[in-house]
Amino acid sequence: MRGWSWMLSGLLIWAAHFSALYAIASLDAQTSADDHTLWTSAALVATLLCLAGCGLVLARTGFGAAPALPDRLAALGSLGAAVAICWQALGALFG
Amino acid sequence: MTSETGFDTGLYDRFPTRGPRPAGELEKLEDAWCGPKGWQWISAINNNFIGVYYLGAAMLFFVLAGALALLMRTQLALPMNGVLPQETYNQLFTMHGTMMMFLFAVPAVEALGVLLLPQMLGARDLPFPRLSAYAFWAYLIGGLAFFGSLFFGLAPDGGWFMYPPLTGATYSPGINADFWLLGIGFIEISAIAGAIEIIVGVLRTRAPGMTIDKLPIFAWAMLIFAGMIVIASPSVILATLLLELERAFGWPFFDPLKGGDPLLWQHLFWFFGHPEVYIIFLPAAGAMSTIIPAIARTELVGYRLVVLAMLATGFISFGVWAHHMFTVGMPRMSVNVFSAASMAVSVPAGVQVFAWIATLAAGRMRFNTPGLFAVGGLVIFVVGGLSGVMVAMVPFDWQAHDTYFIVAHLHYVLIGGMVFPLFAAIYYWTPLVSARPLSERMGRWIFWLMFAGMHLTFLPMHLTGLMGMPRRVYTYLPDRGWELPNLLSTAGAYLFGIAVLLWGIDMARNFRPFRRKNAGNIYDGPGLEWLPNDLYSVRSIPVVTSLYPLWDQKGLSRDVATGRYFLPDNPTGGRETLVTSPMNAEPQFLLRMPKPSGWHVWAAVFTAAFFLLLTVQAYAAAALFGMLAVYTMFHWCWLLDRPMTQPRVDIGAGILAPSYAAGPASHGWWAMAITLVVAGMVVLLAGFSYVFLWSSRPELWKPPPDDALIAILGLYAVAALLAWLAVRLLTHDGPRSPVVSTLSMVLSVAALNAAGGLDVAGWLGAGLDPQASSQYAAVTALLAWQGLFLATAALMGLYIGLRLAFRYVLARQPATFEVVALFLAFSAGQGAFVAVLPRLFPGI
Repeated sequence: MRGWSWMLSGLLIWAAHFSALYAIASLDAQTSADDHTLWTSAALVATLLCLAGCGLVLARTGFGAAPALPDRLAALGSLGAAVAICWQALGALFG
Repeated sequence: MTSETGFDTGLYDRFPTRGPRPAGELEKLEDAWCGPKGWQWISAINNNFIGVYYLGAAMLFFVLAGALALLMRTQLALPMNGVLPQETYNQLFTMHGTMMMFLFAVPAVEALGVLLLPQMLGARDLPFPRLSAYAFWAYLIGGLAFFGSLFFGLAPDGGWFMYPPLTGATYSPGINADFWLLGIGFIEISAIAGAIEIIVGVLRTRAPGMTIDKLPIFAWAMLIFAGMIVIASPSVILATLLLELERAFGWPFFDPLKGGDPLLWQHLFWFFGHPEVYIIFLPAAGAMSTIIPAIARTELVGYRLVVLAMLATGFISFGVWAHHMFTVGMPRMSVNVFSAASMAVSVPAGVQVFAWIATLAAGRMRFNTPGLFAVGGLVIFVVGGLSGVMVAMVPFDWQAHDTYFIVAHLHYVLIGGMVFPLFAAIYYWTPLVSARPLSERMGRWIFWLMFAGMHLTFLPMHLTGLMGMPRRVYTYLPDRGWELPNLLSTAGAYLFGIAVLLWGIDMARNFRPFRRKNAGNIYDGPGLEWLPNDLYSVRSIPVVTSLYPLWDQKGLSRDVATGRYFLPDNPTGGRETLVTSPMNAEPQFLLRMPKPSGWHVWAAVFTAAFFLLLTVQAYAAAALFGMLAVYTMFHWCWLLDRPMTQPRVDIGAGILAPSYAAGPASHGWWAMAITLVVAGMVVLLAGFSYVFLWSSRPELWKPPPDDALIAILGLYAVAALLAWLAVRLLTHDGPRSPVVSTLSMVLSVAALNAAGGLDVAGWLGAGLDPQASSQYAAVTALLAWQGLFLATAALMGLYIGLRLAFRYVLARQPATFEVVALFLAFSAGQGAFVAVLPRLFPGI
């Protein structure tokens, strides 16, 4: 299980970020306030935390010459997740 | 490479073995795996039989659903046409969509997995062959009954997504909608059974040496597909349960007057419905990634990137469900997030497309029938993908929503992403299961007719949609400019129909399954499935050292066929396969597999009868058949985990392995764990539904009961503890271990039921009336779900007690105890969740 979690870590971070944004958007909709600064800030914090997570995974995988498939997938997944997280956050922060 | 299990991989050097094989070895193997004779074909469980049955049934439903499409296109060929009355048309488009998605697409790719995976992984069979067979029979009987509803005017008519309030009891009286709700719930059970089989099969029955980076791309795709079914299907099961409960008993989950919300259905349905598209696409993509390298005679370009792309598709597909709901008025932030995810999902799909194009460019393409279908599918899928990015953009979606543009988009995606790859797969792998390959000449005709027919049907629909023609209308007025594109679409549909007819003729002429000899590796495929095989799959299980073993491991076919690798015989005398570790595929133990019997068939028949009788509201008869289904399953389980006589056996070249495993090492524990993930998803989504309903109308909700929450949680904790203790006591192996551990397990069941009873009593005391409000309906549904687990736990307690009476409870065979303990611990956790959640909302 640890091996699989590691291999999928980037994608799991992306999933966590998506869930966080969905929860924040839902909470935003539940409150009647016109000022959305609180929820936008929450989305920003979630985004930064998830990007930090991707950075940690990338740092741990290192950049060896011939990494095994799980390490390669963890690294590539984190890289892809970081891009996807930024893309997804744009809509929440500036949309 | 470090060992995952402690197995010395240096032992692989003993293979291939030298010297003559013992006389009679092959005959013993053939005897154990012999095919069915006469009526025994019904009780057959070998994947070579069940896979063919399964795929055959899926194609039958494809043809039937296609015939419905032709009827619809005939009606729409001309304006104000009178071929079909409006009510019948509604039934036809509902049945067409439902059958294509639930009875053709998912079962077809699942069938492909059941048929191909054992050979592809170098296993004798998948680990739960009776479960595959049960899934097939349940699906076939349920599917035929569902289709049969058309002939009695009872077919559902609310669209394949069955939105309430249209499908509620007020606007859809009668039992038409019930056929959909109970039928789909039932068929999803079959899909989940197949998914469990595939996950455990791919992770635990690979040939030694087939590490995760040598896993065939099709197996990766099937693994992700099955994982997605496990996560997505609970959503539609829950949704159908809730709507059926509302229709049958008036529990107002979707009735706004009593605090319900019809949008809840849309969330639940599309949380399943959109991943469903990728559930269908990924195995087909896996087939494409297998077929294209074979026909281009080169390795797949970017294997690792394709694996990552498939994994990413699986993940992102669960974050796009609400793009089907852009027009319902969601909050701005939600719309933005879902729009971004919907565009993002095209990236991993694009990675796969570019990998296929690069592979074709790198190799020497052969335009044979599988090659034509693969390339044709690629072209069609790209068109569908591009229009998908268009509708991911919210302003465009608002314009195109519910028009024929969407019909065109979804058919381009599904036909390009699934139907063409499936036909490529059928032509490519038929020589594996048939004594004769399909006709190459007819195949080319079929491809071009299908390719032309597909474009002629659906390309004009982009225009009819943009010109404003809505979906699901049974006719239209003249002079709107819709006549010509509709006429062209109808002509194209008939062209497609002729192609399918020709394919049927080709199958009738050439498809000859269940023979001792197959046509062989005519396309020079590199996978293990092309090793010489028989009903026992491969003669011996090879050590895999390459992603393309038949291209890279010289002499492999010869050595495998002469029994020079693992398991050249059947040391326990029955059906067996090797269980290996999930990452590195190191041999762990010998799995003794079941022989054919009729119990799983009866279980499928009785389960189907139970659901059908529920649909026609014959509740007493349904209860009877429900009990019969439980009895047959009970008996089926009774045949498992019997005492064994050979604790360790020679699995080849003098290597000894256990013939038994328990806990996380065993395949049964994995199956239970995956089943519990399904159950966990149901309860998690029920929790989401509960909070969603609360957030819709919090002012209507009443305070929870002031009762013994601590006592309930305490009892659940005791139940989990006793279950854990039961396993420890059994494995302690004292003289009274079987009795004491059984007692502990039975007490755990009692504690579980006491906790559940206490929870129900508290709510009844607070005036629980499920018809009164969405709050009480949701609480009752949660309690009923937990009740189902408590009843199952009671049955398990009985089962454990009977095993003790028959002296089957043995310290050296704790697998059953481990599995039951896992279930009881989960039930305790779930019970705690069900107790706490309704007290938090509206408690906080």
